[in-house]
Amino acid sequence: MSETHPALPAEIEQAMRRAKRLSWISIGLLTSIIVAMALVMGGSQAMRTAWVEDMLSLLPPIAFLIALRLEEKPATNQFPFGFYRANSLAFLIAATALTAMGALMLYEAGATLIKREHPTIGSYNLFGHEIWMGWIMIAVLIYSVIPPMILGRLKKPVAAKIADKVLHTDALMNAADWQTGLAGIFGIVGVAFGLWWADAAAAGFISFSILTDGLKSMRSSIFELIDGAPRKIDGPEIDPLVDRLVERLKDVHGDVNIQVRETGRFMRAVVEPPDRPHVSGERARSLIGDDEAWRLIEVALEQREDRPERAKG
Amino acid sequence: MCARVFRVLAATAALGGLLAGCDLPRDPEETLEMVRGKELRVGVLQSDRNAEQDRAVVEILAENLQSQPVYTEGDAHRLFEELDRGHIHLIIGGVPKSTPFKKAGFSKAVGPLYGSAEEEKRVLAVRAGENAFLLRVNRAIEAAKAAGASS
Repeated sequence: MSETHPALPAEIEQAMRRAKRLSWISIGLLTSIIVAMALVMGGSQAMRTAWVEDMLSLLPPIAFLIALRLEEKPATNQFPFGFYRANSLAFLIAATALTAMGALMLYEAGATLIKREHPTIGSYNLFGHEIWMGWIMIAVLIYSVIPPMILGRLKKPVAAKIADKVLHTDALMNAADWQTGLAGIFGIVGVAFGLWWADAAAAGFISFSILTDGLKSMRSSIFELIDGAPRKIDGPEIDPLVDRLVERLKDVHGDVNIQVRETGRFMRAVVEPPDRPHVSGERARSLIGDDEAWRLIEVALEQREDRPERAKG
Repeated sequence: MCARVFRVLAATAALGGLLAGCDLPRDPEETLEMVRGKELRVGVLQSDRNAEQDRAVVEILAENLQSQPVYTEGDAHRLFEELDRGHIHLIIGGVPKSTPFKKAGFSKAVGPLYGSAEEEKRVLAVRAGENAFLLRVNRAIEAAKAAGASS
């Protein structure tokens, strides 16, 4: 098949390896946090929510790694365009996970406040002393805050460099994680002072920004999946590269229509005549027969100008 | 960047340590303050072997808080309702760990639930969210266990 994976500049390859490493570290640390939480939380509903959130935040790095592995595979007869779209799909999965996390938090917080549920936090016997579980939870939460705080900040520039929206969403998820953890700490301190609503109020406050980030990412990922023009990595606005590309192509080809879309991290542009976007009915009929001719709307001739290894030069 | 993050976290940890030293946690509905030096109103589900052993915990708790235990017997629905309203402070006498009454706070396990078909742990119930009082109850349970082990 003709679609081989493009060779990438050395610095991009290097950034990809770094992204992979960061994702594996994320999965390892998150797993340890999930285990630690499971040990401390017991039957507490609020903590079970925090735990489910941590499970959700495992999804983006896993989706990222699977998509990256798929993307490197060459095209086959079954998949003649290769697997670049795996990244687009992973973006939707990551964005959905982030949205679900925000929605879950908002719901839990709202339900707790409306039902006026007073969170009960028990105690734990440590070396013969009965210690309030709240203090132990704060210790675990401090531990759960540090890794995502650092990882998220490391991931963002790498995501921008390799134009990876999955990794960018993963970084947003990390930000959501540490903000939730910090809110949890303030919440438990509040509960310690007898303010039963502090926990839920802190979580509810944070959930808004998580939900906004999640919905924004979901919107972008859906745009990408329905062949929208390439968007910026951090929002639904169209990438300024698109304007530049369209302008230059019009300079060269004159009065043409330019279609630009993105498949994962890569951009593709098609130059088409402005008035005749479809294949003619006659030609379609001659190609696939009368009955189903209506289904063939495009036959494109690609100008392949360069070998895949061009980028290495 | 990292140095700043760690300074913030260190400050948080220090604050946490400081708070742990204070008289915290506190009760939103001040059960501990109401009980200290006054009546400790205890609901008993059933006067059986479970209640007998739970009483040992109540005695220690009452002694620690210099309060006077007052027992009332009643069915579960009534007692949990009274607990939620703050009319009683504690429910004893065979509260299973997996109780369907969720609107309450539960202590650590006191012992096995006698008279249950399945193997089940027995706990005590306090008003939901009264964390300071619950901590005193749990300490009394530990003390009762230690006393039971030494005798």
